[in-house]
Formats: sequence, C-alpha cells, structure tokens
Amino acid sequence: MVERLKRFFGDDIKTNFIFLTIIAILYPIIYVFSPGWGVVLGHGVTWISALLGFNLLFGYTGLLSFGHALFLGVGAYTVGFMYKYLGINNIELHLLGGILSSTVVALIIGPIVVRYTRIFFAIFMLAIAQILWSLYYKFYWVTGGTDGIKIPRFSILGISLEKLDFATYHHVYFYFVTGLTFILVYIMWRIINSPFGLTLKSIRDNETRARFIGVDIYRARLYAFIISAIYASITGVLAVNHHRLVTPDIAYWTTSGKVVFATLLGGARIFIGPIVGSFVFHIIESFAMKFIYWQMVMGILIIAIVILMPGGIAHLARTLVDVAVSHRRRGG
Amino acid sequence: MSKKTGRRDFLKGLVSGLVVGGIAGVAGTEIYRGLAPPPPPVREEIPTTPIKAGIQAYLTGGGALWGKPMMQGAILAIEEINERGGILGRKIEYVVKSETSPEETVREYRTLVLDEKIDFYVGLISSSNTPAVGPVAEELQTLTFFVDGCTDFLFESVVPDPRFCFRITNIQSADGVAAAIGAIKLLNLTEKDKVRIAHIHPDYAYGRNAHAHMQITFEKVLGKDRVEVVYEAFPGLFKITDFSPYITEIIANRPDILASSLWGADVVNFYKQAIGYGLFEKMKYVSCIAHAASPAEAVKDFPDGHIAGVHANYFFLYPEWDKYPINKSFVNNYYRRWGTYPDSPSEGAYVAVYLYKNAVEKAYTMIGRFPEVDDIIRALEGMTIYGPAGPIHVRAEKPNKHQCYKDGIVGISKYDPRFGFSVLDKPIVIPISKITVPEGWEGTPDPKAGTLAYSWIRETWREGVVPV
Amino acid sequence: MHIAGLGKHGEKAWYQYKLIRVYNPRETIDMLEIMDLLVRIYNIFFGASVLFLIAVGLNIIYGVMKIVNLAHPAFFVLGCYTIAGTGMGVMINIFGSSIIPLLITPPLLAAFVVAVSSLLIFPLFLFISGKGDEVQLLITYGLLLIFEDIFRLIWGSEPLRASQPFELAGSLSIGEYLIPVYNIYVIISALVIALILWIFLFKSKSGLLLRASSMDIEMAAALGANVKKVLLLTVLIASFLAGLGGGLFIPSASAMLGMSVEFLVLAFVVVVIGGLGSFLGSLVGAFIVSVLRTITLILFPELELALIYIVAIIILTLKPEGLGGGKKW
Repeated sequence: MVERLKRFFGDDIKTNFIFLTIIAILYPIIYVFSPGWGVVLGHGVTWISALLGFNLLFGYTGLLSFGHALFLGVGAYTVGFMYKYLGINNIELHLLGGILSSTVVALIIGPIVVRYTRIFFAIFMLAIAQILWSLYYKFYWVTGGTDGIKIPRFSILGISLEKLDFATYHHVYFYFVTGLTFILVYIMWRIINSPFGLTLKSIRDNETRARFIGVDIYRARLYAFIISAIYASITGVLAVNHHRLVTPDIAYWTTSGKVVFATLLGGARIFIGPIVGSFVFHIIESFAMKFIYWQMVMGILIIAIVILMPGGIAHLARTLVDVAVSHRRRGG
Repeated sequence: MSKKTGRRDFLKGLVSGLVVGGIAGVAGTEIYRGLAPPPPPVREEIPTTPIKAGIQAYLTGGGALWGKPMMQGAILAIEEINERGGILGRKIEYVVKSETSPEETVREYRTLVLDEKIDFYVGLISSSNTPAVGPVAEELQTLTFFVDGCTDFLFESVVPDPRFCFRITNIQSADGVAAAIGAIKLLNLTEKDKVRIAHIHPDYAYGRNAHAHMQITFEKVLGKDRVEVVYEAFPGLFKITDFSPYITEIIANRPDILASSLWGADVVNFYKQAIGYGLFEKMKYVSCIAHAASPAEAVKDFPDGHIAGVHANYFFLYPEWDKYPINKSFVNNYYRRWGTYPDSPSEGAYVAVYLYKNAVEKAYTMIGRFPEVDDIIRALEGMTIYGPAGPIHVRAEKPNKHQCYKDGIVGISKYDPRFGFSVLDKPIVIPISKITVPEGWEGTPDPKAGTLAYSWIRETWREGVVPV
Repeated sequence: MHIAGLGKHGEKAWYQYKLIRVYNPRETIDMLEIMDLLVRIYNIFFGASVLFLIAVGLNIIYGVMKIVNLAHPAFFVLGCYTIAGTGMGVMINIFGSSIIPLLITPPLLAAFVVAVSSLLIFPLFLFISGKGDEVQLLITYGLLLIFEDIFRLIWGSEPLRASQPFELAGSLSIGEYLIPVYNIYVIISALVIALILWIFLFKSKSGLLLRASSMDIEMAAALGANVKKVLLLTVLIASFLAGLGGGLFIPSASAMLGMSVEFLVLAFVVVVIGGLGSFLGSLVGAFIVSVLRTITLILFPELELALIYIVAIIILTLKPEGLGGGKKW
C-alpha cells in the first residue's frame, strides 16, 4: 500500500492518466467561471508533448538542450506552409506533416549534434535554433516574417469548426489535445520502460561503463534525439493551431527556456514531471504576467528549484508522501 | 508492472478519461447555458454603470517611445470626457495591458475581452500585432480601435470585411509615399539628372512596406531611369546597438539620399552614431517617421536640414495653434497633464476615444437608447470628426473599410530652442486622397509588395508627374 | 528580368530582397576606395574590441573554474546601465564637460560596481563550481533572467543613453571622411586591457596560480592553493572586465532591455570560434566574428546573423577546440 502510494507520485502510468482525467473533468467547470483560465488549461495540455520530449533527452538521457524551440518551430512552420501553399487545414495532416518534417530535421542535425555532450550540446542546440529563428525572421516573403502566417481554425476528421462560437471551439480543441496526449504519454511510457529506455538511463548514469558493456551510445542518443524532436514538433503544431498564428517567436530561445523551466518545475527525470510542470507553469505564468517582473520570478524559481528541489514538484510530492508515511508508521 | 496491466490500465484510463471528460464537458456547457440570465429587455433608460475601456501599448523596450504617448493620449481623452460627465452620463474606466510579441499581445487582448469584459479597445502600435489581433477581435466581437499598426495587410487581406475593427492612423503605404513626395518637393529632386538612393529599414513588415512604397514613388515621379539604388540594408528591429558597419557601407556607396523608416531606439542610435561619421553632411536623410513620436527623446539633437516625416500623421505644431483652436487646446491639456508635448500616437489614441464618444452619441440620437455595438459601428462608418490633426474620416466602403483618413505632413528638420528638440519646419501638407487607394477602386494587391496602394500607384500614376 | 526555375516567389526574392547584392565594380581603385576600406577596418577593430571585452571574462571563468556563466553578458550590460542610468549623470556633475575624466572614470566606475555585485552573487558561484554542467547552465541561465528584470526594476524600460563622451570626443576628419574619435579610444583601451591581462596571466604569481588551477585544480590545491580564493579572484577579474567593457561601450550606443541575450548570442559565437577557455581565443574569436559581420553586411545584408552562426557551427564541427590555438591560454 505504501509502495503503491509512493509509486503513485512518480513513475506510475496510472497517476499520469488519473491526473489528466481530473484536469479533463475540471476543465469545463473552470471554463464556465473564467474562460481565460480555461484557455490557460488549453495551453497546459498543449505543451505536455514538448516537455515529454525534452525530458526524454534531459531526464532520461542526460542531454540538456537549450534549443528545443527549434523543433517547436519546425512543427509550427510546417503547419504554416501546409496552409499557405497547400491550403491544408486538417489537424491530422498537420500532425503528420509535423512529425515528418521534424524527423527529417532531426536526422540532419542529430548525427552532428549528439556527438557532443553537456555544454557543447546545450549551446549547439541554442545556436542551431537561433539560425533557424533568424531564417524565419529574414525570409519574410515565405514565412511572413514577424507578422507570421495566420491560419484559420483547423478541421478535425474533415469537419470544419468555423461556424462554432469560440467557447465550443475551444472545448473541441481541448478534448482533442487531451485525447492525443493520453496516447503520447502512453507511447513515451512504453519507450522509457523498454530496453531502449534502460539503455538511455545507463548512458545518463555512467557513460564510460555503458560504452564498456557495448552500448552504441551514439545511436541510442540519436534515436532519443529524433523522438524528442517529434514530440516537440507536435506541440508546435498544436500551439499554432491554438493561437492561429505562426510567428518566429515560437522558435526563439525564450521558448526553449520555457521548456526547460517547465520541465524542471514539474520534475525532471520523473515521468509525471512534464505533465505537472506544464500545467503549473502555465498557471504561474498567467498570474505572473500580471506582475511585471515575470522574468525575475522565473529566474529565482529556476535557481531555487535546482538548488533546493532538484526533483521539482513531483519529487516534492513523493517526499511528502514518504514523510507522511513514516509519521504514520511511528504512530504520529 | 507487467505489459498486460500496462495496456489495460491505458485503455481504462483513456476510455474513462474521455467518457467522463466528454460528459462533464457537455453537461457543464448545458448547465451554464441554462443558468445564464436571459438578455435584458430593451429599455429607454441609459445604464449608469461605467463603460470599460481596454488600452494596450508598448510599455517597455524600444517601442516604449510610442507606446507611452499612445497610452497617455487615450487616458487624457478619457479623463477629459469623465470631467464633463462621461458619455451620456456614463463614466469611462480603463485597464492598461502591455503590447509585446504577436503571440503575447493576442493573449493579453483575450484577457481584456474575456476576463476584464471591456466595452471597447484602444491600442497597438506594431504592424506585427494588428494582423494578429484583428481576426481575434472579429471572433470575440469586440469594438476595437487600432491606433497604429497601420499595415495595409490588415484591411486588405487579413480582415477584408471588418465589422468590429477600426484603425485611426493613416495606412502604412501612405507613410512611405508621403515621405518620398515630401523629399522630391522639398529637395527639388526633379531638377537632378540622377538620384542615387540608399535604403535602411527595420526588418519587418513596416520596414519592408516603407521601403517598397518609397521606392516606387521615387521611380514613378522621377522616372525609373533617373533613380539608382546603391545600397539596401534591413537590420533587425531593436536588435542592433552598433550601426557603424551599416553607416560605413552606406557612406561608401555615395548616395544622394538615404531613405529610412528606422524608428524608436533604432533611429536614435543610428543618427547619433551617424553624426560621428559625418553621414548627414554627405547625403540627405529622408525619414518617414523619426519625428512622429516622443520628439523630445527621439530627435533631441537631430541634424537640421533633412526630411522629417511623422508617419504621415500628426506633428504638434500643425495645424497652427492660432488658426486651429482644437489643436491648441489639445497640446495645452496634454502638456499640462503629462509634461511633454503630444505626438502622432497620442493624437491617434486621443481621437480614437473621441470617435467612440461621438459615435455613441450619434447612435443614441438616432435610436433613443444606449447603443449596442452594431449601432455604434453603423454610426462610425462614414463619420468625419475634427481632431487635433484636422478632419478625420472613417471609411465605410471597401477597399480598406474602417480605415481612417486624414491629411499628412512632411517637413524639414530644424532644431527649435523654444522646445529643446528638433521640430518639423516648412511643412507641406500631403492630401491623403492623392496618395491612397480611393473608395471603390477595384484591383489586386501587388504580388511583390503585397499592397493595393502599390498596384494603384503602379497602374494609375503617370510617370514623371508629381501627383500632389 | 526573368530567372528560369525560380518561380514566382523566387523572382520576388530576387527583385525585392536582393540576397546577393550586385556589386558594381569600379574601373579604377582610387583614394576614396582605400579610405572606404580603412574605415571598414576601423569598424572591424571597434566591433572586435567590444566583443573581446565581453568574451574574455567568459573565457577566464570557464578556463579557470570550468564554469559556463551564461549570465556573463549581463555583467557587461550592468556596466552599461550603471553608467547610462546613473553614473554618467554623477560624473558630469563632478567633472562638468571636461573630456579626459569623462573618458576614464565611467568605465572604472562601471567595473567597480559590477565587481562588487559579483561579490554578492559569489556564494552562487561557489555552489555551482564543481557541479555538473546542467546545474551550471540552469543556474546561470536563471541568473540571466533575474538580471534582465533587475535592469527594468532599477532603470525602467526605456532605452538609456550616456553619449556625452562620444559627442565630446568629436570626429576626426581625414580628407572628406569623418570617423568618430571615441571608437579609437575604445580600441586602444581594449588593447591596453589585453596587454595588462596578458602580463597578469603570464608574468605574475597570481596569474600563474590561476593558470595552474585551470589545468588541474586538485593538484594546485594539493600544492597549497586555496580553491575558494582562486574562484573569488577569477570571478572578480571576469566581472571587473565585463563592467569595464560595458562602461567603455555605452557612450556609443544605448542601454536597452534584451541586450544581455543579444550579447550572449554574439559572445557565444566568439567563444566557439576562438575556443572556450582560451585567452588568445577571445582575441581571435572577437576579431573573426567582427570581420564576418562586416563581410556579411557588404555582400549578404539579409543573412547577417544566420551566416555568423553557420560559420560557428562549421568551426565547431571541424575543430571543436576553436581557432585560438587549441591549447589552454
């Protein structure tokens, strides 16, 4: 029982599903009282995919990337181009396109980048992300520059959503993304608990030993990189459909910072971390946007989390359970 | 945990989550609809609750030189109206939000509408933000007055049939065209055999627009064979602090004029550094916008004798105070309230609020009760009021429906010791009807430059003729 | 002009955006051409000086203590803001408009202020030294964010200027050319600073201590070096240099929010090209990046920043230690 409680706040797949289900139930209630907060929940659920992907690289493979906005941007602009040049509006095709293009980009960049670790990897990703950002910015006639590309409401299973009022449209969006997230969470869960996942963890923990026992580090990292890229681009696809606007901002380093921070906040290396982190981050961001010194808050929180709470909220929850349990044992 | 359990758990979780969530969602919305009060019956009495205005402006960064005056103009108008009893007895309350990147700006706009429940909106400077917010304004059905963000794209492609959006300051293409015509007339360019032109514009929609329209105006009016472009650069908006490499390149190419739409912190950095290289002695600087906002900070010691533009909008000295009391009292009130002189964005925001007031009052006299949004919109369309810059007209028909039009001015920069900064001297008025696409004109936006104005100039202007 | 195969969008690109500027070659090279070139070279040196002043501190911290300090450009910007927001006003009150004090005191004031500030943050540096790279990157990244909002908190969100020394220094006229004199001062200062730093690192006992620690901190500790003292010295020197650079740079530009990140991006390129942790690399990297910037502005003004990054990546791939000689220092 105790063990089950402990696992509950960590790497148990059930927790994740229950958490998402609770949010799914709370959503319409929250939306009724404040549509603004309903939209915040929409942001929360949109970004889970990117954080899962980031955590795969960071928490489970030990590669910190400061340039994940790169793949969000790839997903975003794939949607933009699909609409602008091909007139495609279907969310399914958007997702497919995003997955394909991010795989291609990851296959081009990956082999170069995963040779390096730690600082070089982090900064390499930042540099490449900045290059793509500056290209999105400069190639104005293709990408719309800072104006961006405006896209209409997506169509789902071929059904157009144009006629709906905003609230209903947002409900559809939210539940679609939540459903999608369930699937993505499950897939990531299977990946992490597979032999491949164990390989990644072994690389993270002790690279030399992993190499000794014959692990092809380079290839393992590359595969993790590609999966991470796909997950990040899915968020890109969803986010631009949520805002109906594709701008270079999504590829800017501040977006990468958001990804890093939100994952840390929820708990890196812990499976439920990204899910918790995405919601908590967007809620805090919503509050803090009214407070003008939002960057300072974020900076202080990052430092505090790294020093005091390296496992983020999920880890904190787990520790609290431990404490509560040991209290009970002592009869207190 | 065994594989089987995992899969079962997944299915359980997925199905239960979707079913519960779906039922809850549908039920919740139905309950809400049932609980929501029915719309109030139409009455003759005017509500006494305050009207809520949302203001969104650049409060930080390079654009603050525009955002702050914009906000101050709106607040001044609101305070003046409240002092005199409000609109039909209702006072105006306001909430201020920050304008930043398109994504963030849209988010803040949504908060204003959904959470703050504003009745009307006044805001935006950046041409990246109006096309982003425009569709959202239409979607959320909120009366929206864009002060600037004057990109042609807004009413030509993004929201071609606007209902709720209006825009106060002159359309962007007019900016470049006016500055070019001003330069041609004030510098007597028609008398030169050849004119070498260099361009430096910020790399985004506005800069590109200004570049295209200044260029085509020069080509049409002077003749293509007389105009030679010797250098073009598009530095990132508010991203460059050291312009010296650009300055050196421009000088090395020996242009006669430097056409530029740099603004905000960029133009300040640029001209201060350029003075050091003697750029202003080697060529004439043609700015379509430098004097338009916060002249006390932006052009404090700007060199004399260059073409000064105000974004084809307003400069506080004109129309002259002794001839036009509306401007005189606006300048006085603004100075008394804020301690600085008003500029284009302040005037635009000020007029926006008064436009709203006039429309509400006009609609009220027509229907006998406090107007709904659609009544106000109907009153606005085709309306002309007298603002500090002169008469301003709200267009009712396409193209550029809901765009406002007023005459623009361009002049020569001159330091004025009375104020302690560079002002616009020897102004020439550019009648707006001569440089913008007329109502009812049918044509398609130019594929290169993207605007109707560009096509209109290209197709209808005669080469070698100064149209004003 | 119809260009086959480019299609509608390609032609639009060609006409309107002129990716590759058609360069009109002139028949004869005359005096003016040479002057153009000299002015360009002058600018390259100025740009390189500024970049060097930022990058060298970053390299010193990494070289000695293996700490990647993403917040280092914020020290530079703190120097800028100190002068633009407060310092220059004070200096003018004291010295009036006499140019020599206005040239020398602001950078020193900025350096002092930044060095003292770094003392306040020193415990954080102590914490992260020796920890994993992720910890360092994350914490210094958080520090960068905090700095940005501190600038806004103290000095507001509008751009600030401190251009009096720049204007007082005036311009030098060579024929019909004019160049700002202030930039000469910056270039010379950078060279002097580089020289002093070099002497310190290679000819002084403390410098020897720093260099020894950088190669093997445990060995140095075993031989009696106080690791904490070494770290303190490193952080002080790096932040002093950054502040000095900020105070020198600011009269030629404005202090704006967002500058820290813009400079981080440039500093990173300098460090990658020159080699992380190398003093010589700071010089080499700064110079190369400045040259690249000027070349791209002449030939490919559109691709400016992207090109610099692409070069950085190529160099990182081919020679990860950078072009600064590869070995330490």
